[in-house]
Amino acid sequence: MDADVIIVGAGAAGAAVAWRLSNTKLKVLCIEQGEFQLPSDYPSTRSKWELEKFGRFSPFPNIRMNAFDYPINDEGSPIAIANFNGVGGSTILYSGHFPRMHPSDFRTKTLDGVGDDWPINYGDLEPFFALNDRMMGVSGLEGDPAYPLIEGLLPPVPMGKVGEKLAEGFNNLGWHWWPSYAAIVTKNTGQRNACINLGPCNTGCAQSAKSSVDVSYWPTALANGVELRTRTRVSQLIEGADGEIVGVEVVSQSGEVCVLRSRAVVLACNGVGTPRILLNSISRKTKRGMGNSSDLVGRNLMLHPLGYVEGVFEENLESNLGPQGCCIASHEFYETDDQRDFKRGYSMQVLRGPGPLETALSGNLRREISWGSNHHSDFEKRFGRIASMSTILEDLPHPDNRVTLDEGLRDQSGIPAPRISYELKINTKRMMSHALNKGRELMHAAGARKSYAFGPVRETGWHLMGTARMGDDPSSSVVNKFGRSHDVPNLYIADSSVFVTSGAVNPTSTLQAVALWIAEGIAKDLDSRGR
Amino acid sequence: MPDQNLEALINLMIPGDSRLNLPSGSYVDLDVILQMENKWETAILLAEQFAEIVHGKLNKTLIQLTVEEFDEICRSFRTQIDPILKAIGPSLLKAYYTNPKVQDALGIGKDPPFPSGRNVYTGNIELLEPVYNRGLVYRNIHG
Repeated sequence: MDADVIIVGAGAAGAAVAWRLSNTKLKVLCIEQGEFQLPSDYPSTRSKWELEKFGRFSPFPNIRMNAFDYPINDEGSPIAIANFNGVGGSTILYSGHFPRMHPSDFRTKTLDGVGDDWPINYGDLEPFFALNDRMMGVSGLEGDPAYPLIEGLLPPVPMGKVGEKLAEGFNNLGWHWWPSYAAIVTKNTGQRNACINLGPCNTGCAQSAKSSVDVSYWPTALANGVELRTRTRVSQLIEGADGEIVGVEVVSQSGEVCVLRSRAVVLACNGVGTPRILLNSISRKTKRGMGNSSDLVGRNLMLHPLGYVEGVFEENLESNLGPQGCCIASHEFYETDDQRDFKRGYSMQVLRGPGPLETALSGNLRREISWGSNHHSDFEKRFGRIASMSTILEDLPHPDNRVTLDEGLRDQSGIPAPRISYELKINTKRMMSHALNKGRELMHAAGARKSYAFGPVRETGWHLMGTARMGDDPSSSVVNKFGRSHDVPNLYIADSSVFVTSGAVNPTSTLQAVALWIAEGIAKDLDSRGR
Repeated sequence: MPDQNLEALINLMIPGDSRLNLPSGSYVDLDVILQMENKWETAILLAEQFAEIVHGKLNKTLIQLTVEEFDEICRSFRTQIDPILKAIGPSLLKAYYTNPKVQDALGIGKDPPFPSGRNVYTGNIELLEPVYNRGLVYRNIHG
């Protein structure tokens, strides 16, 4: 036996599970296809920092094409899939926007007649949200009327002139807004230094102030004895004679194949990577892949279609400064309103940080920055004067939105790649239209001289959810409420694949709370089954 | 920049501005970006095409063209010119706006963000008062 528990994936969920299990006597081994990142290697340490997000720090594996990445066929989706493969997973490149899902998100069927109810609720997760906030390091402000009380936050990230300007706009309209919950330490915390507003959080934080899990969970988990094996890819789960998993087949970067054995396996590879492994694994029970008697593995993919709204202001708002994805946010349109032509809702996330290059590229694309004699004056009218905002739409689950395998497309280890089939349904399209209109209304209420809005934005497929949903009924779910496979008793899934609904916020806070909840169950399960 | 047409073209696309202390397009290392993106030969061909259009319309070489004439050519022959500028433009912007001299002139300094960081205005938190006073905006369901 190589370990009691093998965790596949060292990202947001895998790190949280590894840390929780490192506090037990279990021998824990985590397998990660990527490698450790060096903060000193992040682009913000170099003058051409804006350029590198078009290359090896791109959030899109099909562009990045690092040796540790796997290709994704997302031609059948209006939204391209983003991720990062390495210790820290997608938290390396995320913006750190860290709101929780709402209590109603766990009861959408009962409350609004859409989606499904989760087998757990906000109250079940509340202690794990709080624990996760402490482990990650989260800033924000207590008293937000959009949530039950959230305590223990570090001081919020600065609003900046742009945040204040849009806050005035929200107030003019009487809409909710609040300083962003940010997985960013704003005070020196443990070994980590406080945020110094480098700006481009989404190409990695050289200051280690952004709470990616390589600097939050992993140092403690490793100190507690978890073994983390990098540059190693899991090709499939191996089933034993009794229907349980005996371990995982792995491929090293040099191509060496072997089987690692364990008492239990936890998948934490996100809403695309996890179904990919399950569908690539042979099961005696069904030809559809491991843990897939329900035929729901890969289905109900939710991506949070994102709308983009931009306002151009006369005054310099210094909108190029500050943590890129964290400023202020609004949940004014989060809950269902029967006066609207759609169910559920969306959040508004004020962004900042378009540096000179991004300002020039987007302005030129929109013919707002011309070539020739007016180039510099056109640029001057936009740089630092753009307020931008994303609207994150709740994406309802639909079985036709799914991950399957593309046998014709393989990674460097020869493992079939995932194929994405996804489209926006009518409820989401109506919601998008509403969100874009409201976004422009906000910009003008704040004093913008011009506004633009469009969506869905293709390059935004960060939030990968729903492809191995949890539930009490094995015919309508893949895992139970403790993340345990209905089909395979020693297989657990701990990432956002288990989400039943998507909410309308960035999922990392919730997925980590769910991962900690599941890890708690794993610790009890394995303890009760004896060593 | 060894290609005269390309050099002339990018100097017209982004002319220098002494008031703002901004250099013209050829100051920056566009060739590095073009080679990185595997677009070098295409860019030379496109610049040659542009030169031919200019010669055909004004009987001038690209080097002789003034910025005002460039503006006029772009306005008058948009369908012919646009594809050329769209092909070269993004690479030029990538080279230009990541150049330290340009960044310095734009006021963000020639040094990368790390380790100095940036100062950001905190903002007036009292603006939250009406939001707070309005009360809960989430559905406070049990559990």
